[in-house]
Amino acid sequence: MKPEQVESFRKVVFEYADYAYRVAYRLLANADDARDAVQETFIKLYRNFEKYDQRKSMKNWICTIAINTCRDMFRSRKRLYEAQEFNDDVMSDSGKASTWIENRIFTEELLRSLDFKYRTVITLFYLEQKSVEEIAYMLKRPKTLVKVWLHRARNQILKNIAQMEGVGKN
Amino acid sequence: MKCRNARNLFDEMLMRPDGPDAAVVRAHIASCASCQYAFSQWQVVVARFGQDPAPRAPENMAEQVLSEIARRTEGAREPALHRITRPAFAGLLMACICALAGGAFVYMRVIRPEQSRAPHSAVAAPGIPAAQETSAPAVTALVAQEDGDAGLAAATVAGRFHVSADSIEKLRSLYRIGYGGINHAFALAFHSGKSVDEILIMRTAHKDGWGLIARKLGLDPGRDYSVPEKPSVGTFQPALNAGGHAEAADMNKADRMADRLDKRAEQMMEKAEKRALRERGRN
Repeated sequence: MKPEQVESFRKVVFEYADYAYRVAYRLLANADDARDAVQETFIKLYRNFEKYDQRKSMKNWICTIAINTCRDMFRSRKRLYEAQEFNDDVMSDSGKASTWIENRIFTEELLRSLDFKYRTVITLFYLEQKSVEEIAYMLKRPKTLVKVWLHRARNQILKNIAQMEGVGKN
Repeated sequence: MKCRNARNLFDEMLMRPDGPDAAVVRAHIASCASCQYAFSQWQVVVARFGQDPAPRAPENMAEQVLSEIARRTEGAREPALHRITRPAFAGLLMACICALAGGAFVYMRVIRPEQSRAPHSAVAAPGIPAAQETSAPAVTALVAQEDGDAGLAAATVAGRFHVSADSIEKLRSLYRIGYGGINHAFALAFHSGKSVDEILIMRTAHKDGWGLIARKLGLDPGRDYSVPEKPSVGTFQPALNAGGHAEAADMNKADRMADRLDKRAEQMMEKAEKRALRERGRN
């Protein structure tokens, strides 16, 4: 890599490290794993930095690499990350005014209860405010499939909440 | 409208409450209790997503990433020796060496057997095991004589090269070499023009093989030099051609050569004796 490219890579790391961590943390729901994923993401970026197409968004590229890295980690440690039962305690006060911590835990638990692909589309669509077209481009999937995943993810979330409400009523 | 379609438009309704789809969804929600409940829940979820605080990266995240990259990229540039010691590399290297060795063996033994054997048979012929081969009949006879009658062997060599039997014996004791070796040294000296002493020193002191000596003298190591001319066991008739017609000029030339060799042998013997005396005096 040329010296000027190294310098520009440094700038990219300083600009997008937090963003990559945010995406990785939401997908893996674990601080240590998210840090590992970020490091792996930027190592992949470093190795392919010369292939970067200036016309495309660096942010989306980093996000794509981070998602792929997290997916690989998720697969390799599937037993640890497998969709868990929704934590009822978190939703018990869903009707009340939420605090910062409650919101954080709520989102974490909600995402953790989903499959990885649904977790990904929910994170990108609702939390990172990406459009369906952008998600489809980043995941290299058709738009219709992204919509289907969003639909299933929503149903899964509503189902989890309904189950919790049922448990709460009982 | 079906519940499935209505739920797909929940987000559209939340983002654009005045849009064309919103009215249809609102009408469905008004008539469907389960969708009404789901929509209320979804409103809560989306509101919470909107309020979700972004996870904060650890401090110095960028520095950590850069130092990790530096560490890993340095690790990638490991020395070549380390790469060689890796099992895969070592296996590949061993396979290459085995293939080369096998190829060389096949080449030497199968494809060009005559070239590979030549230096060991014809060149080493004089005096020793290979003498039994047909390429050195003169030496075969000489060895047989040496085994039986040493005097006869010395006389044979002396007769072939027109030197005295005494000189042959002196050379034999000085260089500790058999009659076959002396015979070959004389023959090589005859064909190369070098002195017998030089050749015997190459053979005894430098431990050179006969093939190597022949090469050094510019002679063909595959040829039988055990006699001055064409092999003729027990006799020395260098000036005679195959038809047996002697030519006076050639005879004279052979005689002169033999005289010269004889003189050289005597001179060398004297030098050797003087050298030996000097060494004794030092000791």
